Order: sequence, then structure tokens, then C-alpha cells
Amino acid sequence: MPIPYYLAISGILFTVGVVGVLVRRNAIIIFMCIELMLNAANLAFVAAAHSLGKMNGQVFVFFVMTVAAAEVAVGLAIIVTLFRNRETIDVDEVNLMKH
Amino acid sequence: MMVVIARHPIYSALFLVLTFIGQSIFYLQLQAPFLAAVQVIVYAGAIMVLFVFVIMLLGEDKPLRGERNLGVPAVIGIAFCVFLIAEIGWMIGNQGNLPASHTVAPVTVVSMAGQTGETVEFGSVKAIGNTLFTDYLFAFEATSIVLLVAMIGVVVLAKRRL
Repeated sequence: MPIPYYLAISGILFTVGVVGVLVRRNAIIIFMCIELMLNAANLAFVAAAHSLGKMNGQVFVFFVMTVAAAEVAVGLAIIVTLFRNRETIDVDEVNLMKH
Repeated sequence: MMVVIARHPIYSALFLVLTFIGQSIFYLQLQAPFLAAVQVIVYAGAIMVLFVFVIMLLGEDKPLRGERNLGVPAVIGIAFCVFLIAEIGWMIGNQGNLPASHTVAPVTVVSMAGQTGETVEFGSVKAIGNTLFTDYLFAFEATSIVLLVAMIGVVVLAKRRL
């Protein structure tokens, strides 16, 4: 399969992630859509690394995965704290830093 | 796409696992077996377990009322969709002009001790390790700091009071 198709799949994944972040209200689903966007970027990196024959892209994907793991841990901890304080995870109702 | 459509978060999570596994198959096709394994282990394994755990913990029995806000955000999303689809069409239409994707020969990676370059298979653990610990050593250390800070932050957040 030629490289532009991989880039196209990556673009489609990224678009789905963007639409999810914009449209949904559940904070957990918004986080999952952010993961989707990070993975779209990863797929583009790997495709480019394969196309150029260099390892740098794959190493960068490794870093992106690490940072994504850290981000998910912190984000989910924030969501749990939010739910404990507010009894909701609807992002439209959580529009103030304090209540 | 079902990640966005599904009403209940748990179905979203399961479809996301499916997406991750499909993506690891793409990595295998692109000669990145190590990344494919890491994708399955870290994403489909660890991160999704975290997600499912939190979804179960919060016990969202019923979907949120008026879950999808179809207003200005949806319009922006659709505009972005149209833009990206046009771009993808342009890219595929132009691919005759791009250099043909060549099959990658084994890449020569100069090892850390600066000996004669040894032939390492592209995408193998050894090749990635060589690049990671020579060119990207500082970034690697910075990543470890990021993980440490994230760990401390999570503990502080999750603990009700210190």
C-alpha cells in the first residue's frame, strides 16, 4: 500500500478525533478522542519513517506514546476528582474553576 | 468513527481498542514490529484498562442528557471534515508525482561505540534502541522526568487530602 493511503487514513482518524472533541459532552469520550488524534499523528510519523528509511520517526512515536500515557493518567485523575466534587462529567456544566 | 457515535462510554472504549489494534496492524505493514507490539501493550492494554476502570468507577448508568451538542461545534467539525477530505483527494490525485514508496533495505546504523556500522534490520528493537540512546538521549531523560511528574501529580490529585 503506498504511503499516501496511510497518510489519508491518518487524516481521517484525526478528523474523527476533532469532531468527537467538538461534538461530545462526556469528558471521558473527549479524552478518548484526544487519544485518537495522537494515534493519527503516530501513524503519519511511522508512514514517513518508512518512506524515508530513517528511524527518527519511530523514536518520536515512542516519545508520543510515553507522553500520551502520562497525559491520560493525569487527565483521568482530574476527571475522577471532578466527579467527586460535582457529581457530573458533563463539560458544559463544568465551566467554572470553582463552585 | 463509532468511538464518537456510540452513546455509552464503554462502547466507545471498546471501539477505540479495535482502532488501536487495527493501527498496530498498519505498523506491522510499515515495518515497525516493535512499535506494533508497544501499541498493543501500552494503548490497547494499559491505557484502555485505565479508561474502562474510570468509566466503571464513575458508574455512568444512563447517557448524559442531550449528549451531542449539535450547534456551532458540529458546523466547525463538518467544515474541518470537508477540508480534510479535499486535501486527501488532492494528495491521492497527486501521488503519481510523488516518489514511489520504495521498499526499505536494511539500514546501516552506526553503533554507540562508533565501531564500523553494523547492519540492523529496519524497525527492530535494536535499531530503535540505537537511535534512542544516541541521538535522543536528552529527550529520553526528559521523558522520564515527565513520567515522574505525572505520577506525583496523579497521586496528589487522587488523594483527597494530604
